[in-house]
Amino acid sequence: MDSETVSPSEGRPVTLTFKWKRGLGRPETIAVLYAVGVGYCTADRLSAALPQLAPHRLESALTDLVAAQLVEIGPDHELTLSPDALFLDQLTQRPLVVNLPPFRQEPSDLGLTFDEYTRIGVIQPGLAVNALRVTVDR
Amino acid sequence: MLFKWITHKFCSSRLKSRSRAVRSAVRALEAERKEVDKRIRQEGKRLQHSLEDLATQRQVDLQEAVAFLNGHLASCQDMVQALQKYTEQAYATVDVWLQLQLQERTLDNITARIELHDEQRSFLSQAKEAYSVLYDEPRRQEWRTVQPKLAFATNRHIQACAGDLRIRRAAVLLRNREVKANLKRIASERAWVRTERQNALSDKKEAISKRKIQKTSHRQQRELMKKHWLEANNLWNELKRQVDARHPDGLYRLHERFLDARKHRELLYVEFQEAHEAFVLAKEAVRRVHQEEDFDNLQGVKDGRGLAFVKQQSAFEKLRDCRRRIDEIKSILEDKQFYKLRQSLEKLSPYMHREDIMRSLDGFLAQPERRRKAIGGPYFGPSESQSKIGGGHG
Repeated sequence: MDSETVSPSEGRPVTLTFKWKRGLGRPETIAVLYAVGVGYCTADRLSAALPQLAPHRLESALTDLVAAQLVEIGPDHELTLSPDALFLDQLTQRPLVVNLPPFRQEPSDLGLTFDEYTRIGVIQPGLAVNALRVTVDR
Repeated sequence: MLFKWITHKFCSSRLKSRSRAVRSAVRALEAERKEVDKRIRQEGKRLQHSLEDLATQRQVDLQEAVAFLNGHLASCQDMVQALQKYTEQAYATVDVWLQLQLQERTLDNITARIELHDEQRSFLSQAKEAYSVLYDEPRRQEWRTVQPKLAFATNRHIQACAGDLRIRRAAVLLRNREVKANLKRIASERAWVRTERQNALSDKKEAISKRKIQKTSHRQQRELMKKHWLEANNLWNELKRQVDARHPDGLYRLHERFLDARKHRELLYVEFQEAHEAFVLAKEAVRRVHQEEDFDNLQGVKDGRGLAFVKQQSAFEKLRDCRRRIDEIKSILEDKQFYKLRQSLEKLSPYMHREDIMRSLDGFLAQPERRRKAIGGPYFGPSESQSKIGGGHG
């Protein structure tokens, strides 16, 4: 698997692997995420675009996405994707090498700090903290 | 010729009859074909109608599902917003509470300062008194030494002592000035302490009024948090009700039934244990009677054992039935569809959010009592997550 390196400034390189937290990494959730991303942004259009998903799976996937605030619902039941949603999915695709400052301890179960997420390019770090699980490859 | 005529006649008559038969067969075939065509058309129409019905039904189902989904998502969105409000309010309340704590500490410091000033004042008073005593004592001593000699003093003696007295007087005057300066210093120190004390008292007054304001503010924040909690809880109950209505067995009703059954199972387990112990004791009694060869009591003890066995069996059957019922409910609850939906909905539970908040407060509000004071209350009641599936007696 390829890996990307960010922040080429001096520091200790650490390889991080991002994974969706429970429920968010399910195929139907990812399918709904991308479907909303490409413009199927109402429930009826979604169910037409993804006929392979039974209503309860659609319901479950959308509930997960709304609970994680990756999808928001507008006044006309229109679904809007968070600007970070697809980027976070890209983060889960391959390991990422980041340069941690020398004094920084290795990310624990709490994951990265808001600042570190911002440096990676995440706009809403709170959302990333909520949705992603980070492991350090040693 | 005749033969030819007869043959022709015979063949033509056969041909005619055959032709008639063929024509009638063709007519029958045509009729049958028409009949079949008609049947096919009818069947086609029926299938078409059926398909149209199915399509309409599917469309209706789809619309219902989409309408439900829209409603559900709107509820989820409301829930997310309510939870956000609640979480923000909880942290705001904690913030105000910490400020209040800080104010309390400030007030304690000011009180300590006042106490210190009081002690300082009393110390200075004591010092002044002690100083006066120390100052007066040598003079008195000197007077006591001089006084008896005065009656017998002669001019010569007085003249002899005059020089010494001048020196002494000078020394006394010097010491007097020194003492006066020291006493003045003590007085000014006391005045400074008094001023400081006055300042501390006014600071205390100010701190008390600030604390009062912060207490009111904290109470208001808590009230607001309670309001948001109740809103979130109501929305959560509404959401559960909607999901229950959607699913035939009632997702959350089923879970409640599961919890009730589990509690019941624990009671039954205790009952079974008691019955089992009674049976073991009865068995032991029979064995003892056999050992002691007390055959007069044997029948009575055996009857007791039989009764205990029946009770144990009955308790066991009840327990077994209860376990089966739990397994049935559990199999429905752990069904993929239910399970996933429950898992998804759990993320919107206000109880989960409350636990997250509590976990985040663990660092500086480790004691439950302090947490309760900061954000607790009756609306921070028993946790819903205490009732997870599984656990308990097997």
